[in-house]
Amino acid sequence: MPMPLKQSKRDLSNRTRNAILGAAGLLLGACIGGLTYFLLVGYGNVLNLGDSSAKNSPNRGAEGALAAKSVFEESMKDSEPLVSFQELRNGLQELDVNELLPLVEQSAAIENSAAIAELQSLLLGELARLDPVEALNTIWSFPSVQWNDLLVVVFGEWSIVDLDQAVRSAMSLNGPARETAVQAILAKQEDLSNPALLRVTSEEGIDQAVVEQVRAGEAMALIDQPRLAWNLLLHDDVSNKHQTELLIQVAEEWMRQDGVEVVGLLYNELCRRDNEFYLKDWGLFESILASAVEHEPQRVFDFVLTMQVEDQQELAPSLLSLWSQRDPREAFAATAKIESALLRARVESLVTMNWANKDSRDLLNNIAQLPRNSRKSAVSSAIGNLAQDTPMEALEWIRTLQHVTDAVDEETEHLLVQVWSRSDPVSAMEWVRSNTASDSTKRARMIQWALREYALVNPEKALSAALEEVPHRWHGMTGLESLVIDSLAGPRNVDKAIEMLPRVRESAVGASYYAVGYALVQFNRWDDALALAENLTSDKQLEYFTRIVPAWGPFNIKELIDRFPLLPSEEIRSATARSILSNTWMDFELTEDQTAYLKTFEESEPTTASEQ
Amino acid sequence: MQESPRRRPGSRKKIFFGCLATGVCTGVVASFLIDIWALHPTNFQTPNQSNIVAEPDTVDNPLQDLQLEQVIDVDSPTWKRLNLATFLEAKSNAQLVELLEESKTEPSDNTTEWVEAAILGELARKDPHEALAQLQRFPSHRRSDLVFTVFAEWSFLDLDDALSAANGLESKLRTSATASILSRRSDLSKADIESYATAYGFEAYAQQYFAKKQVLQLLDRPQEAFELVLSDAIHDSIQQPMLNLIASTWINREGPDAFKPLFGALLDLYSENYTAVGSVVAHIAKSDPQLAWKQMLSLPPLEQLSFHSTILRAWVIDDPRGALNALSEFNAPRKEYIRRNLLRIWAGEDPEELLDNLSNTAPEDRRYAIAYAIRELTRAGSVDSAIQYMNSLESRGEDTSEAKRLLVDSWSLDDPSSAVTWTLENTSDDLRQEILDDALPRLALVDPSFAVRVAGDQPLAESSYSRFNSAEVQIVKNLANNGQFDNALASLKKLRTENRALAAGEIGVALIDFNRPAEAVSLAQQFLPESEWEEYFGRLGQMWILINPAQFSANIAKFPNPSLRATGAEVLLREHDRSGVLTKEEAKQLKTFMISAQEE
Repeated sequence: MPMPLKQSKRDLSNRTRNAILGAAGLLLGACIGGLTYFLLVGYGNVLNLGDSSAKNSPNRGAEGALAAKSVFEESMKDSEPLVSFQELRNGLQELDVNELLPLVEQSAAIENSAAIAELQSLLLGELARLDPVEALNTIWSFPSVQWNDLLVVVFGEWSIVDLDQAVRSAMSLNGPARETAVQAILAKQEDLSNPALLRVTSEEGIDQAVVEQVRAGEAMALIDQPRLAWNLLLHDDVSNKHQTELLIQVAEEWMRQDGVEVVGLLYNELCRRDNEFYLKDWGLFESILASAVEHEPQRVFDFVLTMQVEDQQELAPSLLSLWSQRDPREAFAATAKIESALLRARVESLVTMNWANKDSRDLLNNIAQLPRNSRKSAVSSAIGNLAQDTPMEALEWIRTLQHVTDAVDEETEHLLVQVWSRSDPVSAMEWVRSNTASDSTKRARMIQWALREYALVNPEKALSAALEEVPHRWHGMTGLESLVIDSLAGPRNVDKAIEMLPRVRESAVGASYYAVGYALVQFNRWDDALALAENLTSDKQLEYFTRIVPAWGPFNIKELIDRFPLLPSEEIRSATARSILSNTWMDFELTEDQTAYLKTFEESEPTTASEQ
Repeated sequence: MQESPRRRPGSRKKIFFGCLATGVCTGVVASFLIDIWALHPTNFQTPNQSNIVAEPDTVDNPLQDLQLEQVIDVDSPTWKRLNLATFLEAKSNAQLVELLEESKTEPSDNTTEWVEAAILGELARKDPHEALAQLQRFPSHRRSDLVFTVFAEWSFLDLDDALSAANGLESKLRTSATASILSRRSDLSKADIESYATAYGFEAYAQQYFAKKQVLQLLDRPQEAFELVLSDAIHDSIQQPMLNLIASTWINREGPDAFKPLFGALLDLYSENYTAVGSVVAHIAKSDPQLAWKQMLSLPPLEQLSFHSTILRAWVIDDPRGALNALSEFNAPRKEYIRRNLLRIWAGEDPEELLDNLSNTAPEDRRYAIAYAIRELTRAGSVDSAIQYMNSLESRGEDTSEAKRLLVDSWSLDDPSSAVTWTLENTSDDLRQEILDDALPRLALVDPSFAVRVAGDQPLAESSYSRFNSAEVQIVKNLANNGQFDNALASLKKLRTENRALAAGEIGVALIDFNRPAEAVSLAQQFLPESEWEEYFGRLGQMWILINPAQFSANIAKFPNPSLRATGAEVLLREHDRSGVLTKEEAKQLKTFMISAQEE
């Protein structure tokens, strides 16, 4: 018995052990199974089911894809933000390249709407993950205004899938797009010292872009201590011109922490003017000043007034110019605090100019409130603006302001005619002729502005009008017709000017031929320029050739030298040669042979250029 | 029987592995079933649920039980973003606030900041007021971006509420919030925006927004967009960025072919606003200066001259040798000036590199290259290093005279005493005077006695023009122009007699400029012999007419003698005839001074 009992106990114990062992095996198996599933499939599914191989599997449910497409299509119809990210997430898991592509294209056709920008970005991002080349090609079908944002999405994704290819592809883009793409790639790199990144950027010659990114990261890590961040950025191995936005951001934070007095420190550091008038970083400083002025103009201005006068002279004009673009009245009122009368006058003029640009009528309504010595320049700015579109209104204002001391004078009317002539020369011409006495100085001066522009719309009438005007000392020795010819001597009308040359009076011949000849040379019509002189007397020819020498300029002087034998006389060749050789300010850059060749004309009969 | 125990372990193994296999299968199947249930929540969910989630939907969100770090632990930026948004979508307001709190314990980096923005955005979707309150707890430099996120969501929930809240923010955040609302609510009509702008006081910003939108809509037709910006319809403040954007887009769209029409458009603009042209050219040249240069060379030679120096200036920043080589092969007037300008920029970027490359610099440019580099080292605060470099170059036979001049010029901005002392000890006679003429007026502002003493030791200039520009006169002028009249007058007494009248004139002019006319008039009698009064009042009158003719007119009566009064009146009346600076009464009064002088 002991044996069976012992056997039985042993059997029982074995069964129990077997059961425990089995249960343990089952449990362990279940754990292993679950874990394996989770690792192989589940975790990937939970976080990201967008495995491209699975997506391209033929066994994938067509129904799922269809449903997913409809989720996106519905979202695109909606002008409101995304309904549910979870739905989109589920949907995106179902779509492969072939299904994503039409959706992306469909979204590109929708008129730019910020509400679906997120959706577009998700679709394109997924397409970029699966097929970055296709995604990049798709970008160009979106409106241009979205390109930069979409390049960031595609290259951000691409750099994760295939860094080398992403960088190389970015480098094949046009300049500005390339810059955006490279930035997008670098922004997605968790480790900017990654050897693969350093290798490919070095191979493509953009290693400096990595350095810039690293320095930006270092500075931003110190943004809570902006003075340190500023010094780091200013003295690092990256050009300030490539870090402008970052420097402005740090400066803004610095001003937020320490007040507008920081403007003074930055001014000293960036652009205090030395005796060479060297302002290294004025552009950067002005951007920082603009940021400060945008938010606290009065405080910044009050601070500037505490600085040395010479610094005020640098800063106050920029500051008030920026301020007056936003609020000219406030800015003008502030100018009264400036102690120096000379500086005050300078900035008042700047402010009223901006005031006129912003609202000419408002400025004109307030002229009487301005100090006497500011009025004329303020009125000129406003009238100059109004005269472009509403000259009659400008004229009316001039009449109204006659009653305000020091507001208008004859120059104001001249300015009106000058501006008016540019926008409507016919009316301006008519007004001058009907509102001024024919022999008056006023008429003589005004008609010049009008004629110059009138010639461009009606050359024949302009020339007739010029010839009909009563001679006046203001017309100069050459009369008004040379002014008409000069005005016509542009690329479009130079042939018309040539046609009209025989009609000019003797006194205007020299100036008129010079104007046309100079233009012909400028338009590379060298032979025509030479032929033009055939109509002139020999003394006028001499004047003509020597005067138009500068027209050949540094680049084309060779053309004149080559044509030297064609010049009408020895005297003219000699005078022209002297004119070229002595004209040092034109920087003709003659070769030694050319110089030697010209020198032969200075006193003796020349040989030809080719013989040289 | 004896074999049985030996077999038992084998049978146990079988049992164990059998069960293990069954367990593995069960585990896989169970996981699969759980996965199916978890990943197809839409089967149990009403489609198109409201975007305003009052209560978190924790039932069917597949990411709900994961930690935030796990949710974003994917490589793809798109999926990272989508996972995070899905994860946050299921959180309650309290949970979102808790997540924000937790994020603050994380080291601040791009990922943390990006996650925080997403949390705040989700919170704004559910409770924008709470999101705004949370935003105030972020460092100030991040608020501008975050406020954009919050108001982007808010704008769809309740536009009036969003605008009203934006209105209560401080200036910069208000602008950012308004920009966010308008850009997000692209469905609003112009009339809607105008009426909101009036109600909430952002009319100026709205005008800017309309102008910008108009250009952006034309961006696919860059030529037209460019023309629109050039017409005066576009707000000044956005004109330059818009021109830059159009130019970039033009090149992105058409590649190198874009340059020709772009340069054409810029040439049309050149005479009107060459600054804007320069800015656009610098902008496009920045990303690819070689390409811009190559395209520019295809223009007619005269047209090239409108762009060449700007492209080179952009080029020299990253590739100084490339830019200088390109210039050497280019046919342009005043190349010397451009070359020196490029050297100046190179020095600004990397003075040591420039000094190391002197052997490649043309001999005629060397002394400028050295001078520019030394100046930059000085401006960067490395005066000792600059002097060391300079001494070493001098010992190698380089010309450092220009470098010494610029060294002191820069140094004296910050520390004029040391700069002047160094000059006295380290420069030859002719160079010393030139340098001191510039440095001493600066020294005067901190130590006028020292400045006057040093100036007095310098040789006296012969011509009155040279004396006017001499250190002695300029010291007094600088003191007066900076409002230090007591120091100016004290210094005036210590000047050599020959320079005194000139210096007094400068004090007088400054007194007029600072609206102290009585002192200006009496200065002559106090400090100058009568023989010099005419010269003094002549200078004073010249400037007084420009500064304040009415005040000049009112003060002529106080001039010390009838002859001076008559001369002043005559000068002023002449100016009045030319440009009408006086009233009739003022002119009449002036004539009496002339008559009185004649009578006497």
